[in-house]
Amino acid sequence: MTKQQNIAEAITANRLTDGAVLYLTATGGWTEKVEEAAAAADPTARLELEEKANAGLARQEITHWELAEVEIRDGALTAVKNKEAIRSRGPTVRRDLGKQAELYA
Amino acid sequence: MYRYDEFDHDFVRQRVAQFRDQVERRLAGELTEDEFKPLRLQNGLYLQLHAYMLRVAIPYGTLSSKQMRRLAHIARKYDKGYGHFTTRQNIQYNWPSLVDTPAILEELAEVEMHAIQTSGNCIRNTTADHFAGAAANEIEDPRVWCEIIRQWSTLHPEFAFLPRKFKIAVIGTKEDRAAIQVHDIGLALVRNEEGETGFTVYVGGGQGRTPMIAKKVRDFLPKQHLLSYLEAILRVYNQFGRRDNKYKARIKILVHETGTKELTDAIEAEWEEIKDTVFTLPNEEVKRIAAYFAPPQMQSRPITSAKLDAAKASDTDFADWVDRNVAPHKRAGYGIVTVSLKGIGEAPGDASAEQMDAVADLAERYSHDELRVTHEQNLVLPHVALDDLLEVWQGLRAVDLGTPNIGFVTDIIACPGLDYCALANARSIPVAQSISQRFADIDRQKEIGPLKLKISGCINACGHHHVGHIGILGVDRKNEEFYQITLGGSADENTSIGKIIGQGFSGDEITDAVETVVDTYLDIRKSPDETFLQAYRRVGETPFKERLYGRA
Repeated sequence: MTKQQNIAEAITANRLTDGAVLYLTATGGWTEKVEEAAAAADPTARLELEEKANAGLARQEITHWELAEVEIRDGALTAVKNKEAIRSRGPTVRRDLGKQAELYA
Repeated sequence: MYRYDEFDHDFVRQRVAQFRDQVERRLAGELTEDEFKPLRLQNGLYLQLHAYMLRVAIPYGTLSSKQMRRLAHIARKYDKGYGHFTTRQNIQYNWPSLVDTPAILEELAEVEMHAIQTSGNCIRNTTADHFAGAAANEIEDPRVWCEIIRQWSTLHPEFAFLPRKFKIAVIGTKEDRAAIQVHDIGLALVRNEEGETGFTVYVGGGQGRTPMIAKKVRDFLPKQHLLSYLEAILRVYNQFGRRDNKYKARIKILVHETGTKELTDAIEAEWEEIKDTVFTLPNEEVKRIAAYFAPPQMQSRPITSAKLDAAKASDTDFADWVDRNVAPHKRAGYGIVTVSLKGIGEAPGDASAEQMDAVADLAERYSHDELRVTHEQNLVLPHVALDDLLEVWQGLRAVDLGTPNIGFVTDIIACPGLDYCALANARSIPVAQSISQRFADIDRQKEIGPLKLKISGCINACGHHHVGHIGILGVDRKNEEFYQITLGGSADENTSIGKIIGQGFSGDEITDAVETVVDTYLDIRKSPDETFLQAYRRVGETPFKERLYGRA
């Protein structure tokens, strides 16, 4: 499958304890901010991320993980797909509550 | 209303303990996600776009002030201070944690509530006319039968692994306020020529990917045979419903592929075997359950209220609200109040903890401690004296719940959509908010008249767009949100599925498009008495297509 040069893949998950949206970081930890996600531009890099994600799964940190397309937009890493973009930033309504208020007020 | 007995209390307590144990084992890694997922779904806990979502059952949409206060408390303590009332008369919380959910369920159990069978391939909440027990021309209260169906269907061992979810709705009037013809089974209480009451039975309605109107399989089913007949339907479905394809697994597909007559024959044949056996409802048992739904002690009142009339004359806002939001009650001097959860520019069906508490207080004081949830995402105070309407309205206004728009274009049904739901393709709430604001002017809404607008963020149609007079379906087109308009749907006793009018519209265009549709109606209607739906059914789609697209 060909990808545009500037699109890479990040690993996203939901935290087991509260379902919060998470992104895998370069050190194998989890962040709630997609800007801090590790992005893999090639299969080798992706494999490394998948291993770290599976380690997180084994530690009961997450419910499951998936790949999400990401790209740099306006200098920051952001999700490509509309659904994933909303998932990364919280609901577009009730902006005073929830993740969107805590992270992106 | 129904009160738990010892058995019910024990059951929900044990269920909570069981789930608590399952959660602990999951957190400790003793259960995998694959093993745990069906278990949490059996307690109504979904994983959605941003968080878990808990769907709490409100059987046939009826609850007490104590229960509503507990729902408010849960919103406050465990969530972000609000909840969402759904198109199946339940409530959803958008931000519960897995860790807290056993505690939430325990607090619900204390007030005789739970989240059982609000998910999964089982029989879900049996819904009812939200005016049940109060409606002016009611034949019989359908909730008696909803409660009987609830008891029969809860943990029914044979039907725990159906091909797919199963939804039943029951009404007790000629008017269908519960959308029974788009349910898997729809039941309407009717009277036969001998004056006996029984059920007309409809099977195979549904929305989603393949909307279908239910087929009548029986004109008159005597009441004592209700459970044996339902058992027969479910057995046929359980045996022959498709399990090979999730999108063809509902009973509507079975009816469609088998044929109404053939399927009815199969049901009747199964029924022959089991009627007059253990499922026959003994009269005393029916009476015992019916007693829970006896009308409250309502003081005799004159048919009109001088106080109400004077208040209406002196306050046009109040008069607007009474005219729109209060329906005739079977008892003289009373009215049925619908509380709009469709404030202008608000998310349809959402209520804050503060609003829930306020409505609970009003219910306790002015509605004999009873509330309802409607499938159109509003609340109802079913037994309000006309003399008390002014105080009720003032109480509602104090918490921004006084919008006088029931049945108007801003009384929108909207699913949570892509803002919350993992299944969605497009957002629905912002569209609802935008349209609501465009039509905010109450005089304009009065001019337009009754108009049911329903919005779904994906083809699963949880927003009931197929049966909206105007329906909006959100889709994803090349990574952008796009909205298709359908016209002419209806969920009442003359149910119809809406027709897609043409090409869709972007998020920026959809509000204008809806306004164009409404303006077209205003131009072509025979008189202000001809409603949108009547006009559409008279003239068809052509005038609307011409105005929207410049061509038919």
